[in-house]
Amino acid sequence: MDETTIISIAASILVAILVFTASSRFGIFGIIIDMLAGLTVILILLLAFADFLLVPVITRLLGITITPAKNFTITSSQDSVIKYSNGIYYATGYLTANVYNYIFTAERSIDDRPELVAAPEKWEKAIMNLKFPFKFNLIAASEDIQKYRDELETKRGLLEFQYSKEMQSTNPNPMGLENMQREINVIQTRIDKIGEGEKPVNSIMYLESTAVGVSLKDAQDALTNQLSELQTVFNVFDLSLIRVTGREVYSLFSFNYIIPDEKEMFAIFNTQN
Amino acid sequence: MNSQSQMLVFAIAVGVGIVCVVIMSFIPSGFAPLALIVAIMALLSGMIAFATKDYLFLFEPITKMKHMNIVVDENEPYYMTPSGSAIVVRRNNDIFATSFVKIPIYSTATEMDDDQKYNFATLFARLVSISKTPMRLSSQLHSINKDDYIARINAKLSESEGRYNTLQVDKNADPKALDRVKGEVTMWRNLLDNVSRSNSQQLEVYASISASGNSEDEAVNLVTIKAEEIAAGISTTLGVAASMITGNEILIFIEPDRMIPPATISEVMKYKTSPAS
Repeated sequence: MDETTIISIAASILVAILVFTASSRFGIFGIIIDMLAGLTVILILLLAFADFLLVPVITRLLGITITPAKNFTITSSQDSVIKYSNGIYYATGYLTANVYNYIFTAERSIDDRPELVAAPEKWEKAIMNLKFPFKFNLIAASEDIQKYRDELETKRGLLEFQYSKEMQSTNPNPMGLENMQREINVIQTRIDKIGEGEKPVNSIMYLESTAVGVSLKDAQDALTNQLSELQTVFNVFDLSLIRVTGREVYSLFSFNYIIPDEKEMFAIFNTQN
Repeated sequence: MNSQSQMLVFAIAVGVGIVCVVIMSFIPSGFAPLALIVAIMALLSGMIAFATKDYLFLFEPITKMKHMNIVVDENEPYYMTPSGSAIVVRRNNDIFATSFVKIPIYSTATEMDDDQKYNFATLFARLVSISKTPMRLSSQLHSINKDDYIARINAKLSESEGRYNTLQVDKNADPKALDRVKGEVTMWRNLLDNVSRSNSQQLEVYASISASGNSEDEAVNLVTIKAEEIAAGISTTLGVAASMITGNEILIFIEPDRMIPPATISEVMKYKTSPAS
């Protein structure tokens, strides 16, 4: 969780806590105020951690649609963008894939050659199985190498200190030691890869597909089928493919026209981290 | 909305919440219903403060909501520059330009040995790190627009059918010529059936990058420089002739109705409505 989110949650919950503390003098009304304050805290936490579930439920119940631009509509279920053109509905939906702060090819210390050799063929087989339009998108930006290396070395130093402290304790925890050793190895692999000339990269991957229909429901049903097929076909890449709902649909729709700048991009990465 | 306006709205909402709490603490216990109203205002302010983080862009449109439809922007999502080298988006006072670079890859894994496959995958991994500015690499599978081709075949078919009909009513017509024209009609008809039936698809790889500026010219110039740098980087890394995409070709990558042309739609509809499907 990034600093902005932590500050936002803290400040918003602080208001609720202050209301809670100031309510004790008002008898039965005080109890109602306390309940409302509790509800507010729950809603804030839901918005912070599960807005992709909460907001679509609200929009669906109230039938609220969003028009992000002329001729486009985000449906009340908040899972697709609809374009209506020449009597045809075009429904576009998104699947998010591997939205972690990912360091290319340096996550593991094991040899990744077999996977890289198999990747092009897997990709071609996946494409050949698909009979409908789709887009595989990867938004990437490389990081400042020196800054990243410094961060890794600091992290490694801290882990090594913790490891030696655990070793010196009277009753060392073998599981904990093993975990720490593995983390140190991963960090060391990343440092080695940077030394070999590989750049650390932040990336977001997502898939996009468009379906057509003579009615809205027809297009949406076709889109759901297409996205399910994409999930099945791209499973070979060990990706976690989840249908995007909520405000991220708007963000991904916007990415078609504006690739986010460094600041926005790193905010997204931090959030995902 | 930029981060400064977000911070401002956030600070105002938190401030209003705290002021409400202060007011609440001065309300005598006999005015409990008033305290409840002030408490609700404080809690709403807290909620609004948190919502500014991700939903600030909806605040203003929600106040103007009509028929349960929130209109974030009623303009076209973009417009093309006169040179056709980029698309431009205006957001409040900011102007963004986005350019597209085509990456023509014609090699296939079936023709590669293991070393070549490994090298190709490694090169692709290096490709994503060529830019410090966020860049989007996309691989798009879309239907080829065969409308023009189908129209040409239709014209040929109509023309040969016309000739066939003329020859049929002509009593002096050469039977061999009649057979030849009949064969021609069958040929065009079969070709039309085949072309319409099959859904021809094309896979294209491209990169896109954006830049912002105070004016359209500034944004377009900046993005053109960035796109050319990326094209050079891609060409060097992958050994292909990457080039900027211009004009209507850009639309295939951003407009849903260009990804699925009308001829394909009619085929999709036929497939859906046919008794066998």
